[in-house]
Amino acid sequence: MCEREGETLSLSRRRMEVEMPTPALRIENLTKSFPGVRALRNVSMDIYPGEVHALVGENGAGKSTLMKILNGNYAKDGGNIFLNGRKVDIGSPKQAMSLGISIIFQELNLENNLSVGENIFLGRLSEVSGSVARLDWRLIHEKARSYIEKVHGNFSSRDLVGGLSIAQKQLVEIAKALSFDANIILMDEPSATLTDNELDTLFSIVSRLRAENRTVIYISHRLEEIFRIADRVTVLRDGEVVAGYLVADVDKNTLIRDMVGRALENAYPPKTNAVGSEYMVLRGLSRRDTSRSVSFSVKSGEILGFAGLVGAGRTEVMRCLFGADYCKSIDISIDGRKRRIRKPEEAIRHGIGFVTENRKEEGLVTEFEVAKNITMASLRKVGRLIFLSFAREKSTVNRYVDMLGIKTPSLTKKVAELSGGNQQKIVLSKWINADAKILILDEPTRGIDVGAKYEVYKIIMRLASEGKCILFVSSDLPELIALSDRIVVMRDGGIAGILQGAEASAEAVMALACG
Amino acid sequence: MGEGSGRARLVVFMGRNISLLFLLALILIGCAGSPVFMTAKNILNVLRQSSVTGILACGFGLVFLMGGFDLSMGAILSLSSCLVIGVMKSSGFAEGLAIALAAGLAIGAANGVLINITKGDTSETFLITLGISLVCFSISTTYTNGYNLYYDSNGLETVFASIGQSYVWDIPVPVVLFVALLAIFQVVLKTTLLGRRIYLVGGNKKASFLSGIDVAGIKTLVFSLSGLCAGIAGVVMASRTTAAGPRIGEGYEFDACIAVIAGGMKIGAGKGGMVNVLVGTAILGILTNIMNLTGTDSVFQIMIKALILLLMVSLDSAKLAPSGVPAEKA
Repeated sequence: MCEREGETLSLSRRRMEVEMPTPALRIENLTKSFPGVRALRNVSMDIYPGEVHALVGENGAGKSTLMKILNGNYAKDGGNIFLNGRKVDIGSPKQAMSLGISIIFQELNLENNLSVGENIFLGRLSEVSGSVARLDWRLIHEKARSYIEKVHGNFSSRDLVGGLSIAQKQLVEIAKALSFDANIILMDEPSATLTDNELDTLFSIVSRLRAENRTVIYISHRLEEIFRIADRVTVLRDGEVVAGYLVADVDKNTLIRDMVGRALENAYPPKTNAVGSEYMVLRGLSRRDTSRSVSFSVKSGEILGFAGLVGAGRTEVMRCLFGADYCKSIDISIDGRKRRIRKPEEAIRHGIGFVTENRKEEGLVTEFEVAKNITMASLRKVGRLIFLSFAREKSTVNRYVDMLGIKTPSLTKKVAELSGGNQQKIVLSKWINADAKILILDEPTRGIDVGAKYEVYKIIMRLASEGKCILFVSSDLPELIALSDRIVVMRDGGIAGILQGAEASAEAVMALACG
Repeated sequence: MGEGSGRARLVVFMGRNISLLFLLALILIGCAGSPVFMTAKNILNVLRQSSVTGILACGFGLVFLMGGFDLSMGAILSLSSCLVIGVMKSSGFAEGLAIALAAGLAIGAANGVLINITKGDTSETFLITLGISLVCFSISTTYTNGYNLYYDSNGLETVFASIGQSYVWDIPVPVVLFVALLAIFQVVLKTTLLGRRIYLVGGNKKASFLSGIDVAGIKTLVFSLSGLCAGIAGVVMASRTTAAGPRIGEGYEFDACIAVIAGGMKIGAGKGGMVNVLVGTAILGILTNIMNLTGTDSVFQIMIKALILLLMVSLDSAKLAPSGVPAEKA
């Protein structure tokens, strides 16, 4: 930490010198509109060589539009982009690459069935081996290895990308960027799917990129990271730059206020739920891919947290409990009665709801309207005999829009066009309307912005206060500790320990999770 | 959309209604090119000629919006036509009709069950229905010993003959059947819980499964209905031509497919409905009619149909590409 502060100080001194260096990237009055939306309005910023520049803002603030313009996916409506003082036009991703701009998207752009080396030089294999007729694999893998070494990757160039962890895949992406000799590297929420250890690796590589005088633009929802890694930060809101700071001169609350446009009093709502009697007992859940079995119980009105590293088996256990995946044996009793759950249909009949971790793939039909998504798990309730009652559907949906504060211009809006926070509220509405008494929430705040997170917390607290059981899976330790009554810590497919809410600290949880 | 210029909005409108505009253009061409085109006789003729394809397209459309293809429809049509004439000769009309339709339904269900067993996605519906079509072909070849079956219309079975050849208030019965199927399917799709479930499965199978929808059951049902449509089409065809054979339905599944795509349906988008089937069938029917009126060579006609299919597919992918989105050029 001390070392980092020193670096930040030296940078601020540098910035105070009268003679400013030429910005590696200068954006001037950039404007971009989509029908009905002004995505970017006169956005201007300077980004200097050798700095890690964080870009923060709520979903829909314009971060991704800006990235896509820099990557050549979108054409800008107005404004200028300068690289090292030279005005450039970025017409296509290929052009962006040749200009030395490289973007690492959240959903990594790698081919899983190819080797690491092939991925790094994809589309340039013949260039690298110097002959179109015959590919020199030894040379390709040798060159790839030099880039893998640069990012300190602990995998071989011949490994299949599909077999790597997400963190390792990110290293491959960075190695690929280095192979283009990219001077400006944009990272879109690289940390969203990383564990703490993997995050440390990522940060040390970002530091090294900075030391090589490359520029890193770092987009993240997690403000803690920005304080650990960035030199400067720019806040976007509604397509405009609202503030820019040296990270050393700013605190988290200021950033949040700038992002949401108001001060956020507390990060978490007060605990108002009362834990009642035992409601669901689960014994001996054993899965196909591990010999360990899992047992736990949850009381009505309780928020039972689930902590663990990525791959500890939390999602898998929840999917088995919900009947979405096969499990070898399971013994569930709900409200004192034994239940068999072999498919989601039965789980729903017994009052279980499942907010999955990837709402776009498994939670929503994103091309469909708000209304159809909210009623999809409880269609019988909006039906008369075999027919749909549109009036009943409309009143149901209106109730949730009011109750959970879903912001949508109309009920016929496609869900894909709403923000992450509103999408998550729609998924929650779906399960509340299905009369779920036991709600499984798998990473419910992933990829949604700060203001919306708080609203999701409030909804969780309210559901628990109504006596519902909440199984709360989260990789965000602060939120897990703040909301949970008890925390189940999982490791290698089994339960490593169960902590009472009062005795849970981040250290205690991590000690159990890492073994 | 308020900010878009008039021209941009026109582009968006045209992109959304390309099928309808195409149909209008064809009608205009027809009117300009031939004086007989707009006569009642020709219009009814077009409708009657398209009705077999249209009945198939109803079933194909259902499968398509759920995210699959049914390439077995032509072979089921052949089998059903053989069964209806063959069984009728030996046992009677009612038995023949029942067995032909039941065969269509059962083979459609077999498609659905096999696709569920292999947990197949869109691409696998191709292979499985293709395999089933070979099964159908070999069954009908075995049943007929490879010969065509003929039904001599000595007035023995007037009900059978009337299916393909008579009129209800001047409208050919096949057309009435086609329109009735369109209407029933449209009502089911738009107003029933079942219809909503079909759309949801088409929109996102994983999310539907996790929301408690019986995805496997819906798939089986939709493929069964598609098989039933092929069965009905087989009976209509046998009655109209008074002949049946293991190969008479060959290629019809592609006509149904072209009609559905020309009508503007998107595979697995969970969108569109029987209106698209109607528009697509009309496009195909009028196109064929114009080509027949102008005496276009039949091999060349296949080429034109293929071009229409490719045109529609390419227009669709142009809409999906980020740089080609007309709306963003605003």
